[in-house]
Amino acid sequence: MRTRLSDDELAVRDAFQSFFQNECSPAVVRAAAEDTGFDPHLWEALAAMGAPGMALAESVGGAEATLSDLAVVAEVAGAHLAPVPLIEHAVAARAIHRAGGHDDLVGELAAGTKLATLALRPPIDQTARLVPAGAVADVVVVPTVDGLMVSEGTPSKLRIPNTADLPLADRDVSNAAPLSGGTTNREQALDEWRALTAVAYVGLARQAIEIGVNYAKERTQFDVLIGTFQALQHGYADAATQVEGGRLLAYRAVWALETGQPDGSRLAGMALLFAAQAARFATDRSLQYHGGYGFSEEYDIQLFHRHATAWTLQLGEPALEYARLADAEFGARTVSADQGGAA
Amino acid sequence: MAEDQPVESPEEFRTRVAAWYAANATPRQETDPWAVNLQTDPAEAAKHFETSRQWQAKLADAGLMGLAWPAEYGGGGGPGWMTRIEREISRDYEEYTGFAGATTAMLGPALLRHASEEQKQTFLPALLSARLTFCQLFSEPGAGSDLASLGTRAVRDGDEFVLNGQKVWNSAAQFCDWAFVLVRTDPDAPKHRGITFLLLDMKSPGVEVRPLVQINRATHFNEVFLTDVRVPVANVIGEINEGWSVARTVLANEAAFIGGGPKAPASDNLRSLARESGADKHPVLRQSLADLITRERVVGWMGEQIQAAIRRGEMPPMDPGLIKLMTADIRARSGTLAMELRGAAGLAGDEPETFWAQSELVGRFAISIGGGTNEVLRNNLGERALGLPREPGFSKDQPWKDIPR
Repeated sequence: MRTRLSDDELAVRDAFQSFFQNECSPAVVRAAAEDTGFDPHLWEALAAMGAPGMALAESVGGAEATLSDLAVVAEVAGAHLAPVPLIEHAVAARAIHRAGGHDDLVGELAAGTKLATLALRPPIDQTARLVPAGAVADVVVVPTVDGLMVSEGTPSKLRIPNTADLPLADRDVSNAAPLSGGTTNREQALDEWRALTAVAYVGLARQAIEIGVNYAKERTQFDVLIGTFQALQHGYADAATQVEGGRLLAYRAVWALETGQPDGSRLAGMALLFAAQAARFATDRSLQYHGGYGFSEEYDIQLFHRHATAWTLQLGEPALEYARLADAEFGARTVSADQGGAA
Repeated sequence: MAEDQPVESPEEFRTRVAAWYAANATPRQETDPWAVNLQTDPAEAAKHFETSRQWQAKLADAGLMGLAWPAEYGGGGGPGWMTRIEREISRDYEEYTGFAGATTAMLGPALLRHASEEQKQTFLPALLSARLTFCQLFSEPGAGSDLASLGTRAVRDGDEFVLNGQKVWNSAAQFCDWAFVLVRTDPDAPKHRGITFLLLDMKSPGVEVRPLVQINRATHFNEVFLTDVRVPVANVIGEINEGWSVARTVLANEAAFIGGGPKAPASDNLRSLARESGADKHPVLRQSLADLITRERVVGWMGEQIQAAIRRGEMPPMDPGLIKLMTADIRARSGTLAMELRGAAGLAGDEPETFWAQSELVGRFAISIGGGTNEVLRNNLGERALGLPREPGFSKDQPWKDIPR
């Protein structure tokens, strides 16, 4: 396994780093939050850079970049809380492409002229609930018992109110058509989402620490910069430790999925849970060490704190993800709750 | 007069107060356990403030405010158990004294201890009856955890001080008639020794209040800008330049108040969420919930111990900061657990349970930051309760004006 970014990946990172720095300031994030939670101009600019199709085959208009390249972009997008469903779009487009037979649609997705997303849970009564980017996506890929289905429709542009102002919405998927590839394609898609979202969490957490550390180097109390207090230093050191660990794990999971390693699915699950926890811890510490200003709407750290909780919850109760992971490690659990502790 | 009457027994007192409440107050309805009252609507917040102020005035008319305060300042002059019994009875009724009542509990003891006879005659009855309401103007943008570094200047001009500066985190400042404010009167003295505690009429020219929006969109707090505000020297509480000791009396009462507020334990709602989702059968979640319930019990008993000591006029058996720290820890756990139990439904939607879970998640910061951050409280515990040496680098004796900022 590689532990450093390749020169190509570094070039990708630098390009998108300066792109998001210029195009996705906190003001842009706040403006999108007041609207649907999606910024169409930012999406168009990303499309102009080839981001929506970067990890698709050249034959359908993609750039044939690796999943690791995509992860590099996801990390930078996460660090800027980019109000665009880059991960969901890429994962959904790749799943449709893997299924085969939708070349026109995949071409539009590669160009970014149509927006796709991935519902993370099976529909109930023909409705996919709380779909990421469901308020704005033209195409929804839906997991089912047998595999994946795809539904096209006009988005409502109305989001369900939520803690991170994400463009979440329920989607009627009664017109969904099955995609070939069965459960293998479904698991690949969900695992790619887990691993890439883990990487985005790492970006978010690193940025939250950086914001907090910069504040600690500016804010004076008790006649000294608050960064001199060990109470803060230890908190940030713990956060940085978790984030570095999360980063290794997340990129390892991406690489394992890309290269078809047998533990890819398991690593993707681990990475999501670990990185989400690291992001919650990092934003929690950073907000706390801002003091009262952390609790005010005006300072950006509150945006990071709200996003840190939100992304994983789209998947459902974290306990279910941990249970899935434990099942993978130990086999399915059969003891009842009453016996659980004593067994 | 009280001394001419036979002393009332606790039972007689309870009967009398219960009868008064039955005749004057509304029995508590079955409350919605998921209700979160952030008062994001300013008109609603103003109405709420006024209603609770009027309720306190009514209690004062009936002789039920300041039961243990000296009678010469409008109190009842009675024993401490009267306060406890009155509180117990009041819990069964809808009405409560709200912000005015909280300030009375924080500012009242400081005035009793530090104010002049004339000031006590003037302000204590007004405070008790909520005829005047007071907000606290302590923190500044540059003086939060390090409150004693505050820089709002008060320059003497004859019989008046002229105030200039900015305050922040001022609860209910938009509604209050008066304020108690900390100002810098001697910049040449070390920082703790050049501060004066003043009472300020909020209608004075040069006082401007601006709301602060919180992470949860509530505007409970304000910024207050003071520009050439003139305050009579007669409004100084305690001695000029010795306001820090008055402030400490207020802050000690505030910490106990924030940490020990009467609030239904979060575990009641978490139990409901767990039952509803079947998570009460989940081996990990049910254990986390059991752990939380244990912690809630511990902090509840700590609070009772401290309150009992305060009622007896004794030193609390433990630092009140302990309660606030532990409450902050419990709120962090309950917030996380609420989101874990609720899952995707905790993230989005307009169900009251969702809003409660989200509010629980960020509400912890009100406890772990407001009224003194966890970090400062831990330092205080290390230094005061455990007797550990101070962190290096503090310039306690340096003149305030020479401290780098």
